[in-house]
Amino acid sequence: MSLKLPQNPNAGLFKQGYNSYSNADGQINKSIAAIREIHQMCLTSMGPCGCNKIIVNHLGKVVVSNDAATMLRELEIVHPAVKVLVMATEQQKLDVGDGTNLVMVLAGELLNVSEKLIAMGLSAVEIIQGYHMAKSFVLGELDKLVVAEVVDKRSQTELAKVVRPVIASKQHGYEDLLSKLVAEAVAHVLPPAAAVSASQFNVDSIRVVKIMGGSLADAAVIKGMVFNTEPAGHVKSLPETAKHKVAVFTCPLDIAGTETKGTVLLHNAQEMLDFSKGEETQIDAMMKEIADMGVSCVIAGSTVGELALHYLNRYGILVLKVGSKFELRRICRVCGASPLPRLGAPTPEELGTIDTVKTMEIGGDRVTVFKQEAEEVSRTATIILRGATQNHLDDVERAVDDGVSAIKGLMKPEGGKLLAGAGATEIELVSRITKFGETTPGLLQLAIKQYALAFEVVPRILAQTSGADVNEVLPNLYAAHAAAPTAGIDSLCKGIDDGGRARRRCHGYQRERGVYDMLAMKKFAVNVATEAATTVLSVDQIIMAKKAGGPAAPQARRPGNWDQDD
Amino acid sequence: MSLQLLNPKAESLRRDAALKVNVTSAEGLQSVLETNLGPRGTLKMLVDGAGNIKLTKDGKVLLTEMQIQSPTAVLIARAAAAQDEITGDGTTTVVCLVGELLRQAYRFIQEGVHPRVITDGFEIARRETLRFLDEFKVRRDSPVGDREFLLQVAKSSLATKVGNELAQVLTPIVTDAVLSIAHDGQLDLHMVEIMQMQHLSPQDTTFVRGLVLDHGGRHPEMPERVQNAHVLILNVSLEYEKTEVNSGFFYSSAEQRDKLAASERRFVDEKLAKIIDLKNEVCGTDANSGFVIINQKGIDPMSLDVLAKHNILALRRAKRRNMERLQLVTGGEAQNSVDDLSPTVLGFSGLVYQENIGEEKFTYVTENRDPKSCTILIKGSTQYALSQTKDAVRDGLRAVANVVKDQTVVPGAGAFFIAASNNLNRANMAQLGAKGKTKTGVQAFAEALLVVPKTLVKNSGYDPLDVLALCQDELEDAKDGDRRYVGVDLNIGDTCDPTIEGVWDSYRVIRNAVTGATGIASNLLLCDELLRAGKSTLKEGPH
Repeated sequence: MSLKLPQNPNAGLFKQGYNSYSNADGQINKSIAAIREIHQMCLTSMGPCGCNKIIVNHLGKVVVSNDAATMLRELEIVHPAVKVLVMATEQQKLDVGDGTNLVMVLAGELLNVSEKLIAMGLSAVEIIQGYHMAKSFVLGELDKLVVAEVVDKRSQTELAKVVRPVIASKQHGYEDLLSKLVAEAVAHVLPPAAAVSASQFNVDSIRVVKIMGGSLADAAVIKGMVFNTEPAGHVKSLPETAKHKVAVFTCPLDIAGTETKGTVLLHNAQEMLDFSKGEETQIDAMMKEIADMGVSCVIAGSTVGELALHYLNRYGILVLKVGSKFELRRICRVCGASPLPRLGAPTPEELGTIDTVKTMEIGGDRVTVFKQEAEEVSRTATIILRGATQNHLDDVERAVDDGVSAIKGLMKPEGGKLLAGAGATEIELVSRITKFGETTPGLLQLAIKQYALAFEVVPRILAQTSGADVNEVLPNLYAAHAAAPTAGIDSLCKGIDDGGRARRRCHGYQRERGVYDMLAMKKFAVNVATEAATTVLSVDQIIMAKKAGGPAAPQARRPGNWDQDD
Repeated sequence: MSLQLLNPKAESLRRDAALKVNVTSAEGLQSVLETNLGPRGTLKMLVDGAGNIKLTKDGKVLLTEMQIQSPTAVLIARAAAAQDEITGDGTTTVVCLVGELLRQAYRFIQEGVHPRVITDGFEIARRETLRFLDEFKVRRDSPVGDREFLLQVAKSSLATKVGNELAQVLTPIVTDAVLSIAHDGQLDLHMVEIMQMQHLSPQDTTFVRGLVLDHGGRHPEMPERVQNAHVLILNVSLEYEKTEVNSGFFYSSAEQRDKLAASERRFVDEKLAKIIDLKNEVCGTDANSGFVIINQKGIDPMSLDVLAKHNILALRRAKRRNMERLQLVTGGEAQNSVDDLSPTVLGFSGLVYQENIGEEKFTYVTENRDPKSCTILIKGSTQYALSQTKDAVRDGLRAVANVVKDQTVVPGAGAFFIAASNNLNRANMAQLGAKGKTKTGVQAFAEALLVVPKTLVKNSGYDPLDVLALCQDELEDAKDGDRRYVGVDLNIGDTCDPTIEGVWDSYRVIRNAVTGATGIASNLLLCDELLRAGKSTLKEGPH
């Protein structure tokens, strides 16, 4: 009887089921190989001509998209090194909203080129150091590459200029239509004050409602809100001639209940009749009070009692039930009403006003539209999207969301700065970083030069997905950038033209075509991608616990703050 | 077969075999952890059962997150974890020292020295080393006044946990945090709130002289920015409380029910009225001053509405620890009832404001008069980046706090270990009480101490023996009575003077590490039998 003697130092050190991969077993190379796999997948989806992917997730839901963040989220990746990259894209999505594919592609390419460096004998520490140096150089250089700036952040055409390329990369062909919609919606929402800062633009104030049927050309913007439900009572629409007063209740529209359990104690039949009668008169009185305040529309955040509904109908008040707390808050913002936690007559300050409330039939759905014409109150705009399939609608919604987040980035203090898009900036960076690398002595030079090379992936893929001959386009592009050594703005603006023309003329003048990238987005993406790549490189050992059994732990916390529940 | 003493399911290992298992396990654990030691150490990626990722080079985190099976390794891991509990740092050092002590001792044991003799030698060497440590340490009186010096201490600790760029950012943050809570010799690190925000990158971590709470006002109409705020710190429930006993209402008409519903609210309404009276008393009609309530208990939507109407920002369900911190930050007194509210119990804050990050709300209580508590706001784009930074900040705080408490530091960069090893080698064994074979223990100990500088050099990619020889030569060159501090320079693979470079270790970390490692190594050496009880299943009946 003896303990099993450990043969090598670490056997039996960990609990059974533990896996440990160290660098001695080529962990980094294996990780990079795994990352390459996912990298290849995202590559073809990049840019306006990127291909869509169909992903069937574990619930059997079909997702059609070329948005990297969406694809990666649905894929449920388990490889830890790949997960680091996925987390980086998620962060990009959260903070900037766009450029997720750029993060994935760039980080993947950085690791791809680092594999060469490792094979050459550089240590991970040196590569990381070189990458960090190159990164700070790039961040500085990007500032110098700004070619345009949006000064008037209120003009619709300027807004559309920023939104258009973002949407083009997701919904190629519809970018003009969609960017116009987004710009229109945003223009509705922007407060009239001269100085627009980020705090004044809330992404939440642009809503998207998807209604099946029709085509995208039928999409429209409504200044106000659209609910997918119709009013509860008989009154479905209010006359359009006058402004209407709105009261918003968060409590149930019903007879007041006690927190403690109550029991009705009845001694005889008369008391029972009186009890029902009493309830009726109470509700009647309550609704009358509300009606007397001139309220013509009631929005209920909770249940509406049968009796209450009856009386509200009788007083000609429109009742809409809104289940979600957030929607309720938004409608409060639209009307300028304050939510009332107890039933009773509201004071004039607590009431909001609305211009139009009507029930419309769009496609097969009946929707309630709250439309506001007033200029002064803080507003919400809704984009109604139409389309043939749910998948398409979802994908268009994602594109719109990206466009709206681009506006959010634009509203930040430095957000108006634009870079030349369509791979022009990347090509310029390749040569600039290489030059910077040549001035750096020692081993770091190799790392910096490879870092430069990684940026080439963007124009390469853009050319590839649009069907152009990469080997012809790239050299032409380099030549075009080198041709103007005076570094005039024009030379910075040469990027890849999409479509068939790419074969003959590799560089359209992007400034004329209006393809821009936002500086802040690109900076964030470069930063996040480099961080992710260096994180993967800096790991020397992966220790994996046995996969826990039982049902999967909830992936994310409930949306919102822990203090959210009421 | 001879008579069996043990339960047939029990496992046992005797004498040499037991010792061998102990030594190999200790070496195994050492080989896992040693690559993480020092500023040039690499990271480990830990993946737990649910697939969550953790990146770390902190020995403590590694040992607690990994489920270790080997009994010897568990023993060492516990000792190392205890080291972290006591001093906040030095876990990897302990593991390396234990592994190396056993390795060196095993050499002599194979040559026929009894483990007991070696442990005696260890004991003598430990005593001598601790004596030497007291001689070697550098005393700094009132380090609180010397911010530059504390910055160096913080830097030395942080550099071993995170990358250089991040360490640069965190160093002043950690130092200022400790300085702001240290007063009258009192130092409670709990008074530094460490708050995480998932956005931006760890380099954007900031230090806030005030408090940041991870929740906000729960009513859309509450003010989001309050200037010159009077802060009421409450521990009073502002919601309807159910009775403890089972109770019910009996009513026979709708009016009666209405009255009952109203009476339920009355208690809360009365409390609210008192608070609002106080608000009117201190703020009056002054538009420039505001009122903020931070409550440890709940506040129901109705009460929130009333407070919002009076333009009061109210936060509910604050952490208990934050109630303590708030008193220190704002100078107010926490109230357990609303019966005796007066303006004197109110705290003051120049600016209270909310910030929304995605769906999360954060409330800042800043611009206070004399804050004795503070917040380190850690940012990071991913969960692993956040926790890595948090662990580093925690260790950095401990390192600075240790120095403030000890008023002593030890030159770092392996200088102490090289010097102590040198000291043992040159010491007069007889005077120390080591005679005969006991000397082997002292020798083994002296050799084992060198593992720390050796590993540091190895992790930076240089030849350990080469660099170490340079260091020892430099020590030899020193004239008698001339104390020289020689450490290893990991950037160029040469010697350096840590007192000039500004690399400092905590006194108590090294003291505890040497004591702890020797203790556990001696215990393991003296083990001559490993027994594992067989699993007995209760189902089996008696045969």
